[in-house]
Amino acid sequence: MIDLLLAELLKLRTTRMVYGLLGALLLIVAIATIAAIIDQPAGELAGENDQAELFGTAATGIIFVLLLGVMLLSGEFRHGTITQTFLITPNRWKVLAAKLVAGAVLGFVFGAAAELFALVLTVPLLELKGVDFTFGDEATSLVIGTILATTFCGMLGVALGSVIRNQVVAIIVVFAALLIVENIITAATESRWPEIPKYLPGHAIAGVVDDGSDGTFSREGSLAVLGTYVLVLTAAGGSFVLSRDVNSIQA
Amino acid sequence: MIAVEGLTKRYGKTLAVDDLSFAVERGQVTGFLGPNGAGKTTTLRILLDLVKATSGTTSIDGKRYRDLDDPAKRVGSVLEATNFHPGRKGRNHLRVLARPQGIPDSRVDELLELVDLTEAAKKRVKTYSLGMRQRLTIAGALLGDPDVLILDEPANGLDPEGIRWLRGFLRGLAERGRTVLVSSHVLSEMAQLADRVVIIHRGRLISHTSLSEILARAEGGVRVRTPQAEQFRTALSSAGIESAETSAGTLAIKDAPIERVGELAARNQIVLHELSPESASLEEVFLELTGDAT
Repeated sequence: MIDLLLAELLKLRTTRMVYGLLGALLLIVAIATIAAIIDQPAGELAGENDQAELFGTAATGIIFVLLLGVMLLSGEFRHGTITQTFLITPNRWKVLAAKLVAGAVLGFVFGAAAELFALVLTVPLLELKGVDFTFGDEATSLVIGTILATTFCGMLGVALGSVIRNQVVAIIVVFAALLIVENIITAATESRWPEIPKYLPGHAIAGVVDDGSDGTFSREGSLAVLGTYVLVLTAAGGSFVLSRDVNSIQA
Repeated sequence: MIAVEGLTKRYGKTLAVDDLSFAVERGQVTGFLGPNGAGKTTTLRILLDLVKATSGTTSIDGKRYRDLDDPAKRVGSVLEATNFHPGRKGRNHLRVLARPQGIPDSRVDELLELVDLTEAAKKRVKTYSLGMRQRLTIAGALLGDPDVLILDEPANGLDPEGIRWLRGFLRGLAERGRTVLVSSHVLSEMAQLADRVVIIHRGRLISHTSLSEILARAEGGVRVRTPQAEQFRTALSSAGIESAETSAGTLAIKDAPIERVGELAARNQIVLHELSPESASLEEVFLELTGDAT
């Protein structure tokens, strides 16, 4: 099983997509952090809560990690490499399990790298501005929440990819679910049934990052919601989709 | 040993494989032949547990593929030359296959050497020719040094040199005691390769026999061109040899050695413009067997 996980990580490391998206994430973090520090007067950067906000951009990584997680499976169907994967490991549940763990590792690395990069930029930049940096409780919580969210979203991506084998469709579904469907359901329900949006994936992700903001469960509760999505999608994908025949891609 | 018993696969209303049974013995090259759409790929994919059978069983050494320990180390598979991530380098492609099987990178380099891709392996697969991709696929199938090799139309898209390389390569494997099952829709590809052939058509077994028997069927008669066709036919028939005039001045003679035909012509002072052995092409035999001969 360890070899299987290492193989999945090797698959990620040997294509350029991962490096491209990680580079893009770090670039976004750099721009946002530098702009925030340069833009604001020293007085508005002195408080612990002001400084904590500088660690918020790393959460952008969530969408990248979701996409990479989706591609871990759907990419193999797209390129036909799934054939060899299943020939080497005929037990498709094992393949799915290895990919889920690989998705989690990927998510953790993205979240941790983005937060670490934010820290590396923040400390000297604040010093240049003559502001003392304190890594306070709020910053700690935000960093932990972001890394937890990217880790879970790596798995969520894999789980979604196990249900939708077509890569393009899967990616469209990620964006449509988070940006359109979630907003429609929220708008339709939040006034009468404010509990419903809390169960939506976007709200759960926000709840994990912010440890329970307006309209979401607490971090633990939100993690439980995300975990349930991962389990249900994985069970559905493993039972009904991955078990299907793997025919040649020309056919 | 590879065994297929009563195998049936239905895709909706289409019957891809129809109650197919055959067994492949160890240490031989078996050609798995049939026209396109005969059910070869489906059969091989069921054998490898990629596709589920509607009914019937397949086994390798008495077990289903999925129940073998380290199946890819026991059975190497070459299914199609398109199963690559285009952005991955050739060597990394093999490393990705080797890793889950616990096969070291040194073995990867060994195989790259064997299929003559050591230099190319530093480049991304999207820059490879079809022949290079096919060789890389074969290298991947051989990583675990398997006893059994299953290849689905490996000659597809290869140039004549590539086909010759492949033939020599597979023969070499068989000589070292490996079992090879190789599918093709072109019988002549098997001519210098297979020991036995399994021929299927519309999902059903047509023939399971040795290649030499198939070749014997293709042995034909003698073709003669002469301005004295009528005279020669009379001479032949008095010697008990049947002949037919296929076109003006051209005779097709069955069941007589070419030497005897020549001698008869000389004895009867017949002028010959042509005296040549005629054999049905392997493809004609194939078409005849699969019932599509016109």
